[in-house]
Amino acid sequence: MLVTQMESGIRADQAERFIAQQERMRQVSSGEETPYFGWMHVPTEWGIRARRGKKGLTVGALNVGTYGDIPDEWPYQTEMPRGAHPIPGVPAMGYSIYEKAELWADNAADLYEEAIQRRWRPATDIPWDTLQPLPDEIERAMCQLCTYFSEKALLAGDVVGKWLPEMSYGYHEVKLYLSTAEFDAARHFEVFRKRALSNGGGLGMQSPGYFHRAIFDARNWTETSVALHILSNSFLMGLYQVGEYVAQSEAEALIFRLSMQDIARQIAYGVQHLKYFLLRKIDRRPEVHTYLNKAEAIMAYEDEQDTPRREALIILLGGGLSKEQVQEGVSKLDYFKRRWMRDYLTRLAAAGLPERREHLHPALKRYLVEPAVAQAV
Amino acid sequence: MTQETKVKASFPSVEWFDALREIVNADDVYRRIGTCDAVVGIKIPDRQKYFRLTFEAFEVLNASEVSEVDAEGTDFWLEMSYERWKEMIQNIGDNGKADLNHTLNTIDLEDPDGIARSHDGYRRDAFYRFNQSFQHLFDSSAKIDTQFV
Repeated sequence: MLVTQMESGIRADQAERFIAQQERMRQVSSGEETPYFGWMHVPTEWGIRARRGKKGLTVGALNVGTYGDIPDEWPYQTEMPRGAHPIPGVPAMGYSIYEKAELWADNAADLYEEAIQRRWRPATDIPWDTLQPLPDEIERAMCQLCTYFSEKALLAGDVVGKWLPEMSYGYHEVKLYLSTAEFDAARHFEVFRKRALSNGGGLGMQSPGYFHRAIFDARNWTETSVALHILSNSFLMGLYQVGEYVAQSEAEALIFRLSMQDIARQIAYGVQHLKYFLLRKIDRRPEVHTYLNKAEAIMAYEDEQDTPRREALIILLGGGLSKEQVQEGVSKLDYFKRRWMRDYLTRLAAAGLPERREHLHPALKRYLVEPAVAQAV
Repeated sequence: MTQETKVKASFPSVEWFDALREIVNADDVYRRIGTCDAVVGIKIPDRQKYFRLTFEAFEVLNASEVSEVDAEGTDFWLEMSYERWKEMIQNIGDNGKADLNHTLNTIDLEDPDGIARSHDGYRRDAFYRFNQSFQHLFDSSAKIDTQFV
């Protein structure tokens, strides 16, 4: 039996424990052994009755008594849930994040509930029948943007998926919320691919991908979160806002509004995590600026290099390909970039980094003046 | 066939926001969008009218007329001239909901300072996090016979 278990891929110690457990069960059920029942005297806090609120029984509402104690350092290397009683001999899971300051955000439990409550289904919630045939250049420009958004979504899912197994079980609120963020990424990939392939167009060109690699190669979670959730997502939020602004149908407008909501939650996590980190890791403040120096430089470079995305935006904002329309598109894109920069910096200020304005990458600094008035397309 | 009788209310007034509140609180579509937790100010500076709306879980809990300071003491406030508010509400009334040029996001982008404003960059993002709830709320004003005063 031991060999059979090991051939199925489990380790020898796991197989032995499993077989011993099976044998005990057989003895108990056949009346050969007196039941143990020692587990019923587990020294965890008992008699807990979490209360429902207006939003039902939420994850945050479970943080009562000792179950609400969230330690600054999580001492267990296994998959034991917070509040359970540990047993000796369980193999370590290989997490690398055991310190609360390295991942925590006070809003994580609320964001998880919000994400679950406000989930949406691209297949049936979007009024796809409102899509109408568009001029070729408009359809091509929208499809190019959708290609970019799909690519960004896949990357975001991969990045979060890479970090989740690094996070120890003491901070399940964060793990739960990030799981929904991963699902949001899948939904965004789905919805933008659907838009690209449902109105007579198709996919466009891939993006250069420099910035993708900068996020993926980050060596700690706070760096990843700052680059992905605050910098990259502030830019993405701006693009979604523009997508809603230039929408040609109810379907497109709703896709972008709902996607804005999902990205806003990720920004909210990023801002609150950075705030928590900066308050507890005062000496690491310069390190955060270094993360941003690197990420902003690569983002600025990518922005220059990604001609298809820039020109697609110009066409959509100007309304076409004529000289006047292109000029209008260029002017509006410049206006929106100034807004994005303002929003990015106000988020960093809210996270406790107001001085970033002075450290901003030179290529981004030129967008720091007040925007001029834009007119609706 | 019976014709739907619309509630009459003047804009801007607490009665108008209360009528809106009652419509969405009884609306399954609003509930299905999901929970919304935010305190939102409404500012109509050229009429010196200021309101405060409290969104909690699946309902709009409260609407009240407040001072300008209290309207700004919110997660964010929506600020437009009276004529801009009127244009948006009339557009919603004419179309049954905002057309593509009159959504909250579009109007926000057209204003150099944005119509969704806040003293806090984190709290302002509630405008985006719950955008569809806010859009649905104002779209529901199509069910009010709005008088402009």
